[in-house]
Amino acid sequence: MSEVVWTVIMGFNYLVLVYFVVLNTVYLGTSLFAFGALKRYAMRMKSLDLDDLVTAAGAPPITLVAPAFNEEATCVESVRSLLTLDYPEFEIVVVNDGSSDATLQRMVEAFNLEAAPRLPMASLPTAPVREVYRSRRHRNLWVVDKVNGGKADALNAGINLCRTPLFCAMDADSLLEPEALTRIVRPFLEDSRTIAAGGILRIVNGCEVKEGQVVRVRMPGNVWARFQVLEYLRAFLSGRMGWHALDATLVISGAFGIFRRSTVVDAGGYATDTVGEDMEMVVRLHRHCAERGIPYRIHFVPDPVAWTECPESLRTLGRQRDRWQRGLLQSLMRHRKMLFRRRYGRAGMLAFPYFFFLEMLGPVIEFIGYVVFVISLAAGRLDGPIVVAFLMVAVVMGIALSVSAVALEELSFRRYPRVQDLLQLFVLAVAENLGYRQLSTWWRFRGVVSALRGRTGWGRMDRKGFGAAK
Amino acid sequence: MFGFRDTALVYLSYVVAGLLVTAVSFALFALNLRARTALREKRWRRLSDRWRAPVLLALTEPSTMDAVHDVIPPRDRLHFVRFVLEYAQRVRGNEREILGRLAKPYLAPLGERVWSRHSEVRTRAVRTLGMLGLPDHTDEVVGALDDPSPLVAMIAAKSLARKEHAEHAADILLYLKRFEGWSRNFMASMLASIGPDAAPALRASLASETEVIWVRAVSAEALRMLRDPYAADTAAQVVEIEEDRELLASALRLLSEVGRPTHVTVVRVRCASPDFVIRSHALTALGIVGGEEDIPRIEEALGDESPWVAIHAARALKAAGREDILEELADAKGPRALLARQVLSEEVLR
Repeated sequence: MSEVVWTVIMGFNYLVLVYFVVLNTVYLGTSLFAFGALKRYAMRMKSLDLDDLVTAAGAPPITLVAPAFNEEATCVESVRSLLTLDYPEFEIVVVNDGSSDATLQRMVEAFNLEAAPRLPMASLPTAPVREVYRSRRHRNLWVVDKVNGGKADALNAGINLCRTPLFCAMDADSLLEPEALTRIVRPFLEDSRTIAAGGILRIVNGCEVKEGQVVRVRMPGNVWARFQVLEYLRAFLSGRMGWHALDATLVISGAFGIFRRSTVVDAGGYATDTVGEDMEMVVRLHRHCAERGIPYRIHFVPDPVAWTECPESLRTLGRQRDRWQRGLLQSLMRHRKMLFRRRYGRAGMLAFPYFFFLEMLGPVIEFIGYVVFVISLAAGRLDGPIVVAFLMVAVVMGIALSVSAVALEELSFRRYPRVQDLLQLFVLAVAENLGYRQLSTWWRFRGVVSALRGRTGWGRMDRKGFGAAK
Repeated sequence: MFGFRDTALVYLSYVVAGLLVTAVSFALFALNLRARTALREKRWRRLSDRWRAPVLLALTEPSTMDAVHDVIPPRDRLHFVRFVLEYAQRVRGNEREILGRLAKPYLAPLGERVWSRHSEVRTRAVRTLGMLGLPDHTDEVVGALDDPSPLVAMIAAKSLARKEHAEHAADILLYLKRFEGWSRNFMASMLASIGPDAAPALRASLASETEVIWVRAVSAEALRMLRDPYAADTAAQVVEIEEDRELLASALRLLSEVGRPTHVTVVRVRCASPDFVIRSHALTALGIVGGEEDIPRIEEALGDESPWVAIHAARALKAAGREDILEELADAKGPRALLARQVLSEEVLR
């Protein structure tokens, strides 16, 4: 190889080094913001009686919209969990999105469903609705059976039938804690500009679940699920809390978010041509409100919890990460107009550039960086200090970030009560940087490539059910 | 070139070392926090176990109240207040009063905390005094309506918005403007929780043309929740002359609850409003205050372009006792049939 090529390769090595420093510095920055915000939030929650604040007075009715596609293993337990929610007035609309398994039959039998009339209150386009059912036993439970159209389409079908001012978009395989709605609705009470709020997702694998409720929180037995526990802590407590503190929330998880119905309908409902409909919706809400001069706020609330089953096999996990990356890329490219545009406030000036350059393009730089680093090392082009610097920046910074996320969990919610679980999280914080992170980078890199190739499918997700997810 | 690279690497190693120290500090912080929390929780369990039985006994036999004070060492007095507060949140009336009397000797330090620099401390103090310290600490709680933090002020307002403190309804209304960002329904519900004694102040607020528009709307909603019959004329006057959407909608909702046939003229006019929200609420009100001559107008609205107006119209027909029209429609085909079947099957009118 000519010297010119080596100069380019070495330059790229330095670029990757700079990328790692910038990426981890941003992560550390959001962690610091999250630290202050979580501390304030914890103190505030201690000083309030949420039940008194919310349930006794004027809590807005909410419709829970839960799309279900081939969820026969978990749908009954999930709906049972929803029925036990501690909230004054809510409806549940499960949308069976053309499941090919026994999802609908399970629901009909478990909840004694009967066909019932229900007029759509909005007209977002969706695949045809076959029938609307209502439970004879639980009058606030409705099931919509429709032709398959994807998650976004199912959400739109649920929104069409929604007649409450707020709706909660969620996954049918998630378990909401009984007080989750009470907690997540608080921003809507305190600030009437609020149009959306997201809660936190936690991993249910390994936990003990009884009658649709998590009764004992434990670390999963499966090693890949353990890594994901740490990832979720970092993503929600460091990342989303930090961005919320900066008033620049750009993502609300599709598994648990609450939205003002009228705003979502005005914005056109969920986009059906992306696999990242949750992020796309939030980004579009930013645009919709900013471009029309509508005052708005989008919140992240760190303590309303939705428990979700995470993949335990590398293949399924890889597919999920591939899809997430494609969804991210599709959302950001569709709304690239927001990049560095003051009109979109902090979302456009801070959060969008971060997601665009570090989350969307980051895996590409990182993956190629690893390959180039190995080639350079094999060719003897790298001297000791550079090798050490590369590894230190890639590994030590990652460890610091993960440990800070565990510290944030300890500062705020302490959901893992056993000391051994806490210690395990620290061990994972070190271990994930020695293989798992690189694997994750590969999946995300693959996601970018498949998005550029125009791949649109979701990929198969295997569910074990809450009893089996250990 | 190499000099620069080496310098950069040296600085980078400092950064990495700093990060290592940070990571270890975070880990130690978390472990220390875990240990401290475990100790604190252990102590709290011990104290709770000691106090539970005598407090529960005092709730059933108030004559044993004095014995409770014997098991509270001076250093644990504020812990005891916290313990009592947790019970007080779940009870009302006489039981809450007993809990207030149990906490009374230990509340004085909280009076000072109302002036703390930290809003969370003030919030907690105001909430505790509001729950356990009224009427002795009324001045502190009323004073907190003026607190720089809207949350503290709201906690004070919530504490005062109780049937037994109806005399503060006017104070709360006076400070309501501070809560402009809060949910209107939340505020209306808070005001309604004061009970019928708050109605005169609410009626005055609704009638006042100098009052902030949204405060008038909140007052109308609270009067609707209280089903105050004396507010009907004021509501009709508002419907006749005001144009603000929020205020109009609230006044129409109030008329749906307490309106009389004499108010039908102003309601009819609003049924033709270009705003679907106003049309919807006017039709609901018309179903209550209107007569047989208004049925065609309501029936016509079943075909309104807005599904919200259509559903309000269908419910208005049901409220007017004309289910026969809906039954006839339900037997036909098309979207109006679905609408009719839905409204006929509804147990509760929303």
